[in-house]
Amino acid sequence: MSSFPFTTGSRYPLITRRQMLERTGMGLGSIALTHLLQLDGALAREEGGSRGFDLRPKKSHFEPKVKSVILMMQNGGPSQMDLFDPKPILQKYSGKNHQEALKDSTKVEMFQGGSQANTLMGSPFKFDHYGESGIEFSNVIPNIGSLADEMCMIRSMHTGHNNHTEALIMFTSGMLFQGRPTFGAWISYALGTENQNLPAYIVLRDPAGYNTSGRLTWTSGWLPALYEGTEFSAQGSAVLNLHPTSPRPEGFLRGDLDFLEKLNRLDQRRDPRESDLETRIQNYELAAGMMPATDQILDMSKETPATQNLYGLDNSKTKAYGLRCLMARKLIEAGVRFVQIHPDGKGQPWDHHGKLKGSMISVCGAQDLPTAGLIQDLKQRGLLESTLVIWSGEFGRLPITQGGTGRDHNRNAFTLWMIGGNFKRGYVHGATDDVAYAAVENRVGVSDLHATILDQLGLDHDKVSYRHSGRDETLTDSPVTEARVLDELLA
Amino acid sequence: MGLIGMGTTAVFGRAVVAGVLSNAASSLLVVSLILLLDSALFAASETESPARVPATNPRTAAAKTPVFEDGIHELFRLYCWKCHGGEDRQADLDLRSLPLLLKGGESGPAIVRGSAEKSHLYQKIVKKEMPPGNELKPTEKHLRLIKAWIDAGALARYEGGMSEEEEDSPLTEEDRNWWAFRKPVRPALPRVQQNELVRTPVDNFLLRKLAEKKLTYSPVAEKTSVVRRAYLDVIGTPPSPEEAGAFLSDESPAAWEQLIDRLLASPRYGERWGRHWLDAAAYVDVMGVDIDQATIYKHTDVWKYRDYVIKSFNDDKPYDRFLLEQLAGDELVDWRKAEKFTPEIKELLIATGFLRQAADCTNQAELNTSEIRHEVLYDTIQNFTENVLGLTVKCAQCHSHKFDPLTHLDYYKLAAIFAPACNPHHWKDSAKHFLYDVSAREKEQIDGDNANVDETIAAWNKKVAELRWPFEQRLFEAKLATLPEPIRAETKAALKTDEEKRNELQKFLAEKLGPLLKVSSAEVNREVDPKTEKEIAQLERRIPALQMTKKSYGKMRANWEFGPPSRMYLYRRGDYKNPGPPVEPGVPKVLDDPENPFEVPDPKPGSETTGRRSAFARWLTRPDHPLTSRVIVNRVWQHYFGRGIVATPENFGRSGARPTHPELLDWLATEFVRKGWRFKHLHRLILNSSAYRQGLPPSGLEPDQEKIDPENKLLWRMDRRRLESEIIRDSVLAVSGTIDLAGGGPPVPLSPLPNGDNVINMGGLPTPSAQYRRSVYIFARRNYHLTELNVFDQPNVAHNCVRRSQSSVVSQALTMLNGNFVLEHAELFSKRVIRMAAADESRRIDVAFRLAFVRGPTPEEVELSRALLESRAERYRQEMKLDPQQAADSALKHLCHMLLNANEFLYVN
Repeated sequence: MSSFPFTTGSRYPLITRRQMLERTGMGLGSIALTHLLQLDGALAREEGGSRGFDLRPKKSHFEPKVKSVILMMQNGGPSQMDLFDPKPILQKYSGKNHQEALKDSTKVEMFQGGSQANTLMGSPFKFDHYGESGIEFSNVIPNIGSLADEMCMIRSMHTGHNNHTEALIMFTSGMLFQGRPTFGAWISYALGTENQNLPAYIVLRDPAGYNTSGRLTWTSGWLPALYEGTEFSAQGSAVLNLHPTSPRPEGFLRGDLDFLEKLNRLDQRRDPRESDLETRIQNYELAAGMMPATDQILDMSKETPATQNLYGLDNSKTKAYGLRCLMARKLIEAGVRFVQIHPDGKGQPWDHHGKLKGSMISVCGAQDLPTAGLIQDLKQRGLLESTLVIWSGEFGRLPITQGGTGRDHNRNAFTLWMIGGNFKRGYVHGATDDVAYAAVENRVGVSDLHATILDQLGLDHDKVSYRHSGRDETLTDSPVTEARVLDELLA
Repeated sequence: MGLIGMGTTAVFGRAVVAGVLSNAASSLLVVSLILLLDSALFAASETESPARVPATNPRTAAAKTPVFEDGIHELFRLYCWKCHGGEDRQADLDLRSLPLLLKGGESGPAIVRGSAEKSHLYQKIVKKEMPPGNELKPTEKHLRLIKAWIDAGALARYEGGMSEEEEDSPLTEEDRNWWAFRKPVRPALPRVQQNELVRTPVDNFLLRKLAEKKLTYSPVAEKTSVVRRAYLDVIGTPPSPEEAGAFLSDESPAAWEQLIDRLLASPRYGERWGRHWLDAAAYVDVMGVDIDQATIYKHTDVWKYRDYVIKSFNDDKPYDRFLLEQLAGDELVDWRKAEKFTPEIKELLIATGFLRQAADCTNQAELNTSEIRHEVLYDTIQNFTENVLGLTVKCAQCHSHKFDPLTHLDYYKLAAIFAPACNPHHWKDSAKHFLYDVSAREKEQIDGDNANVDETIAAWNKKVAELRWPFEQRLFEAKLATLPEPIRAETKAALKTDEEKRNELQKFLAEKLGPLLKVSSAEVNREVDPKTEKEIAQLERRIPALQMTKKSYGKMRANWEFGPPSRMYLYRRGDYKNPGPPVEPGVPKVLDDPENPFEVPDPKPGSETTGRRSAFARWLTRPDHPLTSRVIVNRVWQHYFGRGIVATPENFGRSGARPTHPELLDWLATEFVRKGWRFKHLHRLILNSSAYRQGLPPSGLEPDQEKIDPENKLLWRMDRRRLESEIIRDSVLAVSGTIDLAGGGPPVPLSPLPNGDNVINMGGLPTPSAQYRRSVYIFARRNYHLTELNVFDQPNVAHNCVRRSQSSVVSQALTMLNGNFVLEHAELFSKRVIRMAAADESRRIDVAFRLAFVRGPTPEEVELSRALLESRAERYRQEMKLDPQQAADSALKHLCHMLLNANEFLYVN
């Protein structure tokens, strides 16, 4: 037991693969070399199983601007013209036929029925200028608006598909179809994580159920399962099966695990060559370590009332989302590499095909304060210097009305914002047309965004590769997508 | 170029725009991106003056002289392709490429190069005859662009023919000579020194290679270890103590071979090995992409394919026949005209479910688009080629393969084989894409018979009602008589009037008095006279019996051709909206035998199927096919040794791994074919070898071997393999003694819980023990597997899987430590131990180890176990106030639970 303490402040587990190899007398030369090459990203790692894969922190290719990422994944397609992209012309011609009003032959593309009349619908919300930068935000998100001067906003994003799943898969993995790893998984693979008692990639979703496309938005695809997002719940057991359903009496687990380790060590003595056995032994220690580490993350009693209020924990409307935001901060603080937050509500909280005004007031009401609270809290703790926060949906919505009160999907434009790293502050990039139907200026595709995010983490997107089916795959697949780092977004 | 140049999402951008635009099937509108077209696509050609641009710049030069592929096709796509693009073409006019434009349709060529004025197409558009009616009309600017293009000579990069090298690059000698593309030649058996170690020819090859490095096998493993290995590898559950005992005590020289024969004869063998094939085929029980945990789109009766696979393995169906049935079972019998679906016909049609495993979400109207239909076809090709050909051909969808001599053209030749039964132009949405498991005639007969039965029953029910009527009437009148006389007639009339037709007064009366006057059937029963009662009883008694005579029929997820086969084109850059030359069905040139090339015989007159797939299957299963036998033999090997002779079973091409033992692979491949493509023969060759029975080197570690062959590629020892997800769960069930070995039939249903757990749906079980059925029978989803399976690398089935990953992640430890399933079975396991060993502590330890590991404990392990049991029992006595026996029994749960968590339990060694 003594050589494998499970709660350790060390950045590294006490036994490394290298030590393991030394201990078991294996020649080091080529393996060490391979490992070093891997750190350089110069050599694509072989696929197949977990052998040789771990979550220990890895060196980036160059000096990173940020160490960790929080992705606020807004399922459903938030309406850009009702939040971030005000359009006076849309307001002016609200209720008019789109083609007639704009003298434009464009017939807006619908996904579902209900928009045939092609009638423009102005935003039900007023916009205000915020901060010194004067970026406009609608009045349903005043707190997010207060972040204007920190923010790099892209109004010209596009994912290219009108269906939630395809667009979500596109946004998270860079390609339209299932099977590829998400960028959170790529980042965990490339960089590992600081805290060996917690997963590298953690997902905080509404405990009531999954948002649309569920696990596909944090899948490791064909990367080893190690890099998949782990779901953490703010309710009940934080991690599935972290504790048994009926509580185990204090201390029983420790004794059982001691026995298990001794049994496994006897077995390992018969076959010391197999490194997988060691990994599995350590997994039980990690499991034991995760229980207190996780309980600590979940323990909100250490947070001052002021902090709790910052996240809106004192208000039933904001409490659920606020709790996930606060957990995100605690996880980032604890050294987790990538945290993904999902909005309240099963399915697609932003999917406002009808009753857009009321629904947006309610979704924004739950998010606005906690979102700003998280940024403020990260900032006051100095964590914003090393954390990139990304807020995005999978596509935008149409300028015309669907059924009188809603908006249908729009794959031609949506708005995304980021705070942190080297991203310009108080800056708006790209633009849509007069009615925010399509991104027309400085259009930003997902692969460029991914390349730029990796760049902030000190990673060359062409060098983080993994061999799959005979091909060195990368997140951005730049030979096909021509992805590039968007220097124009960076200060 | 425009759309493409604007973002980074070139490839999908084009395809998706096209997909949405062409979505004529959906009631939704065709869409215009004119805005984008204008602002980005044509900006260059409109604004850049030649003076500013050096003529040498090819990009801008292209912008000056419009080229079809640089945007003109986007205009046709926008305005014309809905009716003149692809299969749905009117007037036989297809406007997807220059050659097709020049070929034209019923009114002759669509364009005359160099003259818009003389071009039929342009005239039609200018005169606003086209696009017709309310369809979107081209803007003035777009008209000018089309005119300018035609006037400038209607240039296009693709002018027709097969000229472009990327589409059909010639084969080199080197290509043909790649080891995997040459026919396997049966090598002579190598002579070896250590003849005593040779038990099957497998050993000749392995020992020879080892000897070259001055290495040899490790000694034979312990009998307990090797019997467990054989059980887990062949049937997927550990031996019971009795089964293990029978082998351990059998000293005869043939004991091992007999054990192997017994295992291969067990119906559990098909479940174990069928599962490997189901992985390779991408089998799931759901329809579509299975994206949402809480929403399960079930396919009815698709499990019949799973049972077909299991049965085929149990029957030792020859692999050539197995492939033929799965690829073309529908072409082997004339089921369309069959009077009756015999079991054979049904089996052949069910087998074709093999080609229906790609995720197909076209049951959702919004997703029933050309783009997604094509994606289903592509996925079908990918699943097939990685499984059966051991080739990754996906790249060739867009361009010729970078590493392997698989051309762009080869891909579409293959597509032309599969497309007639997976035809984006003649599609059935996935909810309606099935066959009934009875012939059309039988179905008609059954439907008719059932209707007759229903009619008879209805008549009987009517008769019963008539018999009861006078009594009911009498009761009603009696009740009516209790009402005040003046309202009686009115009330009666109100109740006789249909509810919707009642006037206000009648409504009031019916509502107020109806319940009062209601005659219950119990009242009528009491009222009827004995004679009528008897008559009624006689009729009613006959109803259930007649009901039982009704027949039902099920469904089959089959693959068959319907609708005329569509011409396949080479899709330039993978875009089905950008067809190049037409392509005939064929096989990759590098795999074709110039002496005896692949051919599709002309279908028989009146045939409703092209015969392409059966011709393809027959080509695939030629005895000297370079890949078919090698690929499958390699996978069988992989399942026994943890790594194939070729370590990349899905990729035998240049970017895949080289075989570690090429001669052995070829010997096995040719032997497999020679002995009738029988799996069981192949299993015996491997299982009966000395190689398979070896254990670890005596000291546990041999520096020489580690140095010479650190990865054990030469097989100087048996590597540990972690059990697959299903085998871990099945082993837990076997050890706890609860396993339900019922085979076949509908899958055990799952319940998705909001916390992300996926558990067995206890409410949906036919019998309580069905929750303990083998894992192969659990409802198979793409992404939301039973938690116990999910954590142990149950593959996500976006595509097929021929090699599972073997991860060690903490969720495995958590699931084994805290999950309800394992805790429940640890307890059942402890009860079984108590039943077998009574109260004796050392006997309990012994039995627990034998059940979990097959072997008994070592003295050291006895010591540890005793300490655990005593410390646990102590706490149960002290803190929970259990009596000593209860405390000892409870303590045993801990031991049993930890044994299930032990590495030894989770691995084959």
